Amino acid sequence: MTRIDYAPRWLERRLGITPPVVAPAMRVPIVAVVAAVVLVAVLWAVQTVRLRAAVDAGAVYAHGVAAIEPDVSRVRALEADVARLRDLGAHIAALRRSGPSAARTIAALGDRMPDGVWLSALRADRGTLALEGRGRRLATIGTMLSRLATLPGYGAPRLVTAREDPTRHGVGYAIEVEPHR
Amino acid sequence: MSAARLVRFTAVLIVLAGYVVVFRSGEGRIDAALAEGARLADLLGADERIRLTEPALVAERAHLMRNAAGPNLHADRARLVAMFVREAADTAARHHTAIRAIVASDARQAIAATQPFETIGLDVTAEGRYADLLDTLAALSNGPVLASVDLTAIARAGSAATTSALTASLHVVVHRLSDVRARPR
Repeated sequence: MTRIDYAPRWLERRLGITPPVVAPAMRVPIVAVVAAVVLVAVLWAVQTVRLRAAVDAGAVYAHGVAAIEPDVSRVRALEADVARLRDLGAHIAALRRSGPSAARTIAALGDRMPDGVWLSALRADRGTLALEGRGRRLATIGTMLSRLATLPGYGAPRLVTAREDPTRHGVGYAIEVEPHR
Repeated sequence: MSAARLVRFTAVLIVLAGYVVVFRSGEGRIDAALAEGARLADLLGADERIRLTEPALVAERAHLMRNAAGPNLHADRARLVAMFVREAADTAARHHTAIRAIVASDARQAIAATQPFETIGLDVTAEGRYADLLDTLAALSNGPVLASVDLTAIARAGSAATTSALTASLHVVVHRLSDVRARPR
């Protein structure tokens, strides 16, 4: 049975437009084309909104970075000033320590002199200490050498001379102590 | 190819073109924008953390400036030497030793003077008892003039072996700030 629609269509009634007649075989492909175009349009709209949101968020951060920049520059200058003052303070402290440090070394040296050994001269040259003096016996010079080996900051002592002095009833000595390099 | 198949093929092409042109290229641009946003967010966070250190830095600078203001670093060479001589005499008197000589010399020292320091070398001869000389040696580097002190030699004063007096030769290096810009502000 063939059905015939005799009533005029809405477009014809209202606008006087007669739509083209689409063959039934073409309807599904055309709907597919329209659906594809709509899909792409929706995709484009979604991507545009996402891109704008991302760009806007970046702009907010960029504005924040620009706003904080003067403060950061000020803090950087402050950091440089503090670093310079730290160096200055460290140098001042090192110089301040030089006198007490030298005194401590000499005191430590004196503490390591056994009974019966006298120091008559001490010279310091580029950190190396040269000691000269006398001892009652040769054995006390040996004791002194072993004690000097424990002098903080210095290496093993080097005996330069240990010679009996018959005129003064004792042993004259010369010892060198080099600092740790 | 029939018209229906051609139209269906066109629909598939539109979807493929939309995927390539809209989706893929859009994703690339969005990823780039998100990455830039993340970079700026990190930068902002780092800047915020730097800004938060300002009060601590201000306090530390004030503390360091108080420390650096202790010794006289700014006077000219002649004035500094005069101050050191006065200070050395006072120190010696306080510790019952005597300064026998102060002679200008080269500034050689264990602690290297770095910029912006300028140095003045002095050889000082002091005389006194062992303990007093050690006290004098320790005190000389802690006066109002910034100076390093090294012991050069110590020996019995005079020829008598029985005397308890010793003579100490000291090498003193007086420091001053030569660069005005380096002075604590």
